[in-house]
Amino acid sequence: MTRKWPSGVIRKIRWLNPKLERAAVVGACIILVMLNVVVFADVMSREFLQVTLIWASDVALFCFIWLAFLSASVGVRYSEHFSVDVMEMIVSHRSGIYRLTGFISSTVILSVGVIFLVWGMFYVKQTMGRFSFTLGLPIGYIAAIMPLSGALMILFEVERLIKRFGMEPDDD
Amino acid sequence: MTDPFAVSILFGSFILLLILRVPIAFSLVGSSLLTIVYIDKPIILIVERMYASLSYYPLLAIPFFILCGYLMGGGGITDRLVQFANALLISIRGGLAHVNVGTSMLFAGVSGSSTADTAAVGSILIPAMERDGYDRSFAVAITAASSTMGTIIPPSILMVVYGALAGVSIGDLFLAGVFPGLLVGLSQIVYSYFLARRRGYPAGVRPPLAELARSAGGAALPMGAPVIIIGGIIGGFFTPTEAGVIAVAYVIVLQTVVYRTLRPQNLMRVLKEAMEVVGLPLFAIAAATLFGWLVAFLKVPALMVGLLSAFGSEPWLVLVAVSMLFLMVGMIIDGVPAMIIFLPIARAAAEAVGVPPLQLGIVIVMMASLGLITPPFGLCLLLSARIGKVAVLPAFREVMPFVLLFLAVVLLVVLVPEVALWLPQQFGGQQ
Repeated sequence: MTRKWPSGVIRKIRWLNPKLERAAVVGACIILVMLNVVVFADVMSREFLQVTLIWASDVALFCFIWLAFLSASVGVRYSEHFSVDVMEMIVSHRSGIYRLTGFISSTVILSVGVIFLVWGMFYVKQTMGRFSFTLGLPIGYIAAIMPLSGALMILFEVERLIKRFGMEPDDD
Repeated sequence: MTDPFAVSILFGSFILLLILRVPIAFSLVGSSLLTIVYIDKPIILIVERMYASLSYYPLLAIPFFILCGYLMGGGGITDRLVQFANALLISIRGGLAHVNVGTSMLFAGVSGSSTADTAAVGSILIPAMERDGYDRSFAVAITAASSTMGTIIPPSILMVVYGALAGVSIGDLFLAGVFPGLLVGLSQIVYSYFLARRRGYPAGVRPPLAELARSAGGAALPMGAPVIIIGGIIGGFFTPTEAGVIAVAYVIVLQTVVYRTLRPQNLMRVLKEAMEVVGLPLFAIAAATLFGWLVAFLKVPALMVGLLSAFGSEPWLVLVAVSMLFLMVGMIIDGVPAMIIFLPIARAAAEAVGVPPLQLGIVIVMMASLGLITPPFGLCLLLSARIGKVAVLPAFREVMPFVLLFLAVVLLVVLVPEVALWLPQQFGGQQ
């Protein structure tokens, strides 16, 4: 049975999420390339020019942290995070218990998203006055990926909830 | 003093969330959240710890080795390794099973990721084995089992993480993994041979010497990668983390300049695939670090060391106990998070009886690798079963003999430490 939700919010999420996902994927791919280029350039420069790129480790860590959390957020949209599905061996996919566990799983993911978003923003504020070793960049810029990935996780998980429970938006 | 109720909340809620189908990384964060609330600590700790866990340079090796594995699969290097292993091993009874193991051995020498090995080798050899009359579930099982070598034969993501966490030379760990990795492969070949005789799996036609030489030539450059990587680390030219990016650069040059098999559109696809899987282990590491911090805060290691010490004061007995701990943990958690959470416990127990850190490292890395094929969360086996379109249960049944063989090799490393320690000693490594 399809339940209809009289909500424009759901329609907006469905419109927005593919665009956000694409932006996140493209962004993460660019960051992945940057990460490789920076570390490779550092090794080559040190070995052949005897010049150490002192900024390289800062940039590489910046890229790495953004890549990790951005990619993890995209993983939420397609349920790619590893899980141990022992329930599958005990109950049918169509049973109420199985659907309930799906709902609990979504609730936990949403909670983590909310923590990342809300406390992540506090953390960003806290760390704007701390600076990276070589570039002198405020750590808050790097930590900004935490609330950003929290927001993405929430949006992607809400979309999955809509799909999982067949909650189609009302066209009226 | 340990608060037993807080420890129960941490571990109990983690297990409960796993049973309720919450993804592992989110279960780790969820159970940590409950514990943090119970012990009245600020919630911002979750964000702080998870952020800080990734601000750690050695972990950069993980995306490099994952990308390297995907590049090898996406641009034809895997085909060359398969051709060489095929020319070398196909004429033995159960030829394609040996080719599968041989290819994984060669693949492991360039890539440090077992899942990339499963994806690359499985997509080529599982259909080929099925066409040749092998049971599909056996093809799936041997693909997964052989890919465990990916994290034992250097380079290895798990060794980079262990070395960074335990302060052990990663170059020495790489060298220490060579013989145990080869022994795992050899045991799989011997088992497959006898199974092939029993089940009537075929042997292929021995190729002419010229073809063997041609395929060896085709695979020579990819097989040169381990020499560059390990030589570079031991020679002090680059760190193990940087070795990952050197491997990526080497594979890209091979595929775009030498073989010309990787086109720009393929490169984009490979980048996207690698990007999609990179975040999952990294997020799990961040979550495990948070969980591990709570484990340490609640003084669980002191409690567990007491339990492990009950096995006796002999180093080998403690190593067996550590192996059993990681065997159980590996059934439900991926290797790197398992290592982050339980390494402090294992180290404390091992140090107390004088186990060399290098030997402990190889045993833990091997057990974490074994977790890739043990039920219910054997990541490589699940991936291989998906590629081979086989139900998980028969695949688990087929993989059990490989699990036992693997455990036998681990026991050998425990009882005869020289199996792992001899090679690093030859290069002046420490124990």
